[in-house]
Amino acid sequence: MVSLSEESKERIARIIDVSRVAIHYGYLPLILYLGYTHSEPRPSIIRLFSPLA
Amino acid sequence: MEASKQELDFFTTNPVALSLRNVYASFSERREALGLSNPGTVENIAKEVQRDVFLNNLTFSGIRADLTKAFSVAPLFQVSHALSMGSQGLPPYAYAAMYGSPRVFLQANIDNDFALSGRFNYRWTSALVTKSSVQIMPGQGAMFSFENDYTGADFTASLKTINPSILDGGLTGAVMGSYLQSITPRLALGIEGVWNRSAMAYGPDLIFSYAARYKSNDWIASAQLLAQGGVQASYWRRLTDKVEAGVETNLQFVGMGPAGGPLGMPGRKEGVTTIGAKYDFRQSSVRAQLDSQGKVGCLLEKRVAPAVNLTFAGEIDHPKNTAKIGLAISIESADEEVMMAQERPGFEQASPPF
Repeated sequence: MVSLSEESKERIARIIDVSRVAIHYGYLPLILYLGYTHSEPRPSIIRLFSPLA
Repeated sequence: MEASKQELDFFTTNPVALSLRNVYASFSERREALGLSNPGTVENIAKEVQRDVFLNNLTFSGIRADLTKAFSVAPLFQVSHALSMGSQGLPPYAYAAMYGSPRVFLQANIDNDFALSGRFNYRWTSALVTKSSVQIMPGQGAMFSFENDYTGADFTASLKTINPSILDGGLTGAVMGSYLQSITPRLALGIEGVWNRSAMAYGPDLIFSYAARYKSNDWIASAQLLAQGGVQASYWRRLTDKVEAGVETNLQFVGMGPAGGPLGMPGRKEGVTTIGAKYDFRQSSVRAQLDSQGKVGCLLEKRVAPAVNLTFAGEIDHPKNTAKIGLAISIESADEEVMMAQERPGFEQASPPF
């Protein structure tokens, strides 16, 4: 079986932690950015977030 | 370059490779001549009954309001706000965004506790789609899964992993593989294997199940046999062009073998049969179902205005003497230009890999 040293295990765990936080707070803004830049015509920013506008 | 190409030609022009290629070509020619169609996936083997007729996935309780705004159709881009009250499973507020082009599909949903659920799908070719999903709760662990689906002309193969990890000194997580192949234009047979190891302290377990699906002109029968001791059978029929009906039986024989059940408990038999029907009207649809455990459910969907949908769900559990009731309103709003683009003649776009 694959055996990893303690050091590399720790490093992988840290990478996973960082990427988890990045996905958690970055994925939704990424989608909004992609949609905002690719749609034609561009929607106004307030309509992206406000349920009433 | 030329010389090396000629040297390498030996590997493709030698008699063994040529005859292999001939065999493969004639095999695929005959396979094409059978005129088989794609059977769908093992997971969706009873889709017509479970997804279309039954209301398991659609029922809810409490009051709900969904507000969807479509900003663009090609590429697909929409955001939605979901509010709910008095519901057991749904969060009070959730915000979702969706982006889809023929190549990629991205979707994320975040609720008022900042719990994120996201999906990312990528279509490599017209047949191969990779799907990934992630669920992250603040302060708790995350769950993620990767799935690869290959949709061939007459078969579907899929490989899925949930929370794979090698940090514990070995592979942990769950791996699922499934394969469904059309045998005749109507009959498809499939196999599914699930390998599961939740931690290194426990041994891995491997479970196989076998599936069959028979599709006729106006009815579909499917059956799935779990090697552990379980049978699931379903039958769907289109009665008229507005009415569909389905019945499903689920039998469990856990631990009926000589080894006994889990944790040494004696074996038990369990079975549930559900029967349901769906009526489609011009502006509304009604679903009703009844199961052998004494649960009655009903769901009414009505289009009040072109962009406003009203859903009413009710469920009574007779043995437990409980009842659930739900009311939902969903409003879709889109810019006029977006609507125009959708209705423009010749508007044809490959759907995103959902």
